[in-house]
Amino acid sequence: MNQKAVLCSEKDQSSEAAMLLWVSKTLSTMIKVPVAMFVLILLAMAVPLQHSFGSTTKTLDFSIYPDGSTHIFLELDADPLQPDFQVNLFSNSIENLIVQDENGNLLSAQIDGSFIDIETFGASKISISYDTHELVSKTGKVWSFTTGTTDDFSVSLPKNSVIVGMNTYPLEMIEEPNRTTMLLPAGYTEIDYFFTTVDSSLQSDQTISSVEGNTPIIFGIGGAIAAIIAVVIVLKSRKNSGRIEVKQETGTTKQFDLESVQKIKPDLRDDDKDILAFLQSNGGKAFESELRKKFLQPKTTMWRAIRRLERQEIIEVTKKDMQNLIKLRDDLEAENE
Amino acid sequence: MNKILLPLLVLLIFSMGIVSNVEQSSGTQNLENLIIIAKNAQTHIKSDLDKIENTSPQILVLYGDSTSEFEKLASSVEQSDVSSAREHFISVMTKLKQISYYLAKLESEKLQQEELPDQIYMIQKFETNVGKIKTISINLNVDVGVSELESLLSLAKSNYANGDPDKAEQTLEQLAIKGIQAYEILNEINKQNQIIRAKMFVEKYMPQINNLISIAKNQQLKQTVEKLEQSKLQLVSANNTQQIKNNMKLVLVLKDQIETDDPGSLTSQKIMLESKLQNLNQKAVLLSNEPSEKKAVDYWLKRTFSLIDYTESLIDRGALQSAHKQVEQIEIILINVEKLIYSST
Repeated sequence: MNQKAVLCSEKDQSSEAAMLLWVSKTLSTMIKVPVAMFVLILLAMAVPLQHSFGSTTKTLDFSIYPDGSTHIFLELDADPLQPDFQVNLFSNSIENLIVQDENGNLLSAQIDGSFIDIETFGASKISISYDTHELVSKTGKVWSFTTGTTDDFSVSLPKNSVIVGMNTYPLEMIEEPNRTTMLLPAGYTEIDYFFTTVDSSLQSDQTISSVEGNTPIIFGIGGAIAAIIAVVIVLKSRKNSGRIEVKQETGTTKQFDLESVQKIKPDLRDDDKDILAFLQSNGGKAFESELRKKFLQPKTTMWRAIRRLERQEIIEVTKKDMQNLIKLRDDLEAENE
Repeated sequence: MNKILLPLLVLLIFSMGIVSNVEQSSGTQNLENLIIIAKNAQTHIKSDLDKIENTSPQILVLYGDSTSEFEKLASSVEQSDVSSAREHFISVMTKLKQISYYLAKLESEKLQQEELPDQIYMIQKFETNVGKIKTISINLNVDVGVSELESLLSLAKSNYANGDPDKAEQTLEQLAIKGIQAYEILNEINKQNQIIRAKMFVEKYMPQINNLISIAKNQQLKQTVEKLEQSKLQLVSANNTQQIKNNMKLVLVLKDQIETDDPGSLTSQKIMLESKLQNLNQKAVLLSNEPSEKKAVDYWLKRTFSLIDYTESLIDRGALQSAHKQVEQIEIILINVEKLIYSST
């Protein structure tokens, strides 16, 4: 109240009062700018995430082997207040069933036809993996994958296979060398494919070229933004340039040491440790696709592991040749010191 | 301060615009994926068709149709018309599928023999399973001979690399036996852990059970109090997970009963579910009598009947909450089946 009176007294009351009020509003808004910026940053970050993975927490991956068997990985939320949980499986005949809770503990399960009753006893997340031969049939050289789902799902086709029939459309597609993984919408799905000895490089070339068509503009604008941000950061960081010099020095001299990392982060998961050990033996970096191949994990599982390690600031993820390049951070120890 | 923050704010709004642009271009990329898949399929089908001397005119017409549909697909993608692109994509792929099945019939047995999958994929499959056993054994802190499994796996790989598939198969058979043994040990140890977990779950729930008993006493629900007391005793003395599960389920049912303040609600809920299920079963039977050539209709109806059977068993077991969820799922599936039949006629 007092502040408003002081501001108004400096100018003529009548005509510019509104303007002054507007200015005073702007000033108060400017104070809130950091909050607004924070919200905007969150929004900007949320948009691509929602786009890529949707809001559902469920994961459903089908991985088809060349012999016609399918590995199914399903991850879903369970009610921690219930003693058990029922799931409808995709087949009556299953092999290699493993049910685990969020901590990797094995859960007991009873199979009743194509249904499974899992003793959860407080588990809030369940992951189910199993193999089945019932989803793929063969006519001559044409293999046909058939399923029906109530959620969007991903399918990885066998290497060197060519899709020759589909009753649905892919929402997203990932091209790995000689292998196709698609994100498909919920519903009844039929995919027909056959194996080919013909070099399927045609696929990869086209994927890259079609992406290249869009990338110069995106990367041009992205580059400009990055440059502006870099300038702002450099200007801001001039004030404490001394500290940065020290950090750069430690960053270049320290080497990644898995044992030290385990000491700093004792709660690291075993599978994450395996990833780090592989990265270390691979010169400190590897493509995400290489990691998936090495650990034979579904796309989403590996994605989560990478994000987990990135959150813990043990690795960094950059883009190279349109792929995610995972690098061990060699400044982890220095930062913790 | 303001001089830095204002441009940053503008920059952020601008970058949000970029994000949506990237999304759009990613959408375009997804549409281009349709072209990639269709083009690739067409190229391979064409190459197979060219190998045949007397192709049926019907198939040639079908191929021509697929080409014209492909052109429509390409033009839809160019115009970023998502729904039209998807429609033409499915049309192209359906036609190409028909041709590929025609071609498959002409394939010789010899060719099929040649295209049997490589043994390396079997090895990879085993590698996944050994990896799983390893993770679980580390989790349970038990040595089940994972190193032996790993060395057998390496041996199978080297057998394969040395061009000795018979030896590789023998090694894989050995690996399978050892793997099953290891998994059985893990399962046995896990059963002990599962009982501990179940008892912890009961312990966590005990204050709520006591609370339920006192509420039931206040509401003068004599029978419910008795049942709860009995379940509580059984839960405390239970030494297997099945016993704990069954008693916990009973407690949850009684909890629902107390909360709805209607002792007869359980019976009425059961009757309601049974009648709903009966109606859904009738509807499914009627739909299965409708003429439809769609495989999807058969698939979903088969699934519906299996769901109905399962839901009946849930109702019999008193798992009404789970039965209710299944009934909802059946309703959704039958609505979709109706749509499928309607669209096909």
